[in-house]
Amino acid sequence: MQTPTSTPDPGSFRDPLSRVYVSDDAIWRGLSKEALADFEVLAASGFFEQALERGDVVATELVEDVAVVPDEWAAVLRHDRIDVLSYAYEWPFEMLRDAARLQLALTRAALADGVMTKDATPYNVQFTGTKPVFIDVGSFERLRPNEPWPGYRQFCELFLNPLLIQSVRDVPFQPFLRGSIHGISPATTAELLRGSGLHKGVFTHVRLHARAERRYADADVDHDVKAELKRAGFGPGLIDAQLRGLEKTIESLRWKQQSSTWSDYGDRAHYSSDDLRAKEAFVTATVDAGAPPDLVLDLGANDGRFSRIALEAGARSAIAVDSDDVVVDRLYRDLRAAGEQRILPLVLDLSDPSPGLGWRARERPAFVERVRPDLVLCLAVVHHLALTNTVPLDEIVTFLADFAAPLVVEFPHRDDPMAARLLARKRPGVFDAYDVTTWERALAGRFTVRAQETLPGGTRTLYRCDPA
Amino acid sequence: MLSYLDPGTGSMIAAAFAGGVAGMVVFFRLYWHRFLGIFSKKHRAEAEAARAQLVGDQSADTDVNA
Repeated sequence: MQTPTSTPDPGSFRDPLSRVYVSDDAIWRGLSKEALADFEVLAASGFFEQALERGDVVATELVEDVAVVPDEWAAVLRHDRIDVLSYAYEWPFEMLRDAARLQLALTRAALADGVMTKDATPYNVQFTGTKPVFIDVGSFERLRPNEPWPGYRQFCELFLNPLLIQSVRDVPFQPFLRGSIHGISPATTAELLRGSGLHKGVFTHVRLHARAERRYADADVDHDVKAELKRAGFGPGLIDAQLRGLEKTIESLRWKQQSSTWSDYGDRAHYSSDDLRAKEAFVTATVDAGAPPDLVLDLGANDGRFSRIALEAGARSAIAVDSDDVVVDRLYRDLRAAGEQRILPLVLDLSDPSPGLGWRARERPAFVERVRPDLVLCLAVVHHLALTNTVPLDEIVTFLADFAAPLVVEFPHRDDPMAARLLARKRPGVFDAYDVTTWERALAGRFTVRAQETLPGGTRTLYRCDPA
Repeated sequence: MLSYLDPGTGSMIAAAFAGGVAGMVVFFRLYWHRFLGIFSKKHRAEAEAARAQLVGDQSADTDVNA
């Protein structure tokens, strides 16, 4: 079904040569005359065909007479939809590195066929499970003689510099990328890496880059030197050498958290095996009960155990969300090694989920607006939100109701060992409202409880509910 | 027709450095052009203007950047 729409996607305005329109079943891209000429060269190139076959670039075809797109455009492309959009500030280290690998590999392959990428941003890469997919076909343009790679600075700001600060300094990049849609400038990165010693690529791409930018910040000087550089000529050989150098730098990065063993990872010592089995059975029964959900949202997923159980029970795909980027990075690498492409692991702090960002805060929509699950799992999470993040129980329920989907939620009672440990740190009387009665009243305000079960240990209750 | 992203001068210089041998060739050509430029019409005009300023010749008040 094509629903006519003439409002372009608010995230697609940066390149004036094309705009994106969204309908229920597909993504449409209006191309200007100039962009169509670029696409014709692209479509005739061997690398593009291979990239489409491998699924490295989103499925794309030139279409005629589309009601969805206004007729001001010279031509229209149809793309397959990506199930769930995610952004670099929700990815762990290895996901951003894989996205960088794809960006560089595609740009190098394109270059060999006389095509260039006009930009280089992780917003042009999406993940279906653990497979990175390049979605911005409008980014490819004909290679212009003597011109440098236009995406170089952006590649540094949004791929290389975030990966560098995390690998060299163990500073997480997610807050930086969420803080600015433009990424981390060479100058800021140079400051963050000051005194960090020798690391591959840092001298050229960060220190020299920052220094040269400062030196040529003056517009007049800038113009002359730029014209001179273009006259001196950036050939494909130079650009390929530059891309190869970036590839080597990206491969050389070592983040120490990836090699350390994570003792708590997947540790469920606080559960008796009976409790765990009952919980698994409850989730399986929920997925089994109705039509198999297309998308399960697993909040507080840790090692992704319940995402996998939901898939085994018939769910088509899952998003495994956790606030700990080390845990999510481990999960991503496990899933990638297993070739599992149905689970998308994301870094997200539930007490502070990704807001709308960019131009008018609409360029990159908020997590809750972007993700439309058919089932939400919220296991071993409520006590953390209520006691660690001090979110009132009815607020937690409202948040869960925002997803407008059936819910499986676990509530640890006051006498549960984990809840008791958190309560022991609080002044008596402050968290008296944390009890089963208040919880169930809050839940009933937004959901209809279809089933509930107290785990064999007697300190945790599971609820299966539908939105009221 | 240029891309919508404008590669800054600093990025272009870093890019040439990152290009290894091929980048050195670009710098070589850049300085070679500058060297040849010494004998160019524009350079002679600049030299004229500089001399005129020193000597104080009003008629040589031309915009060298034109």
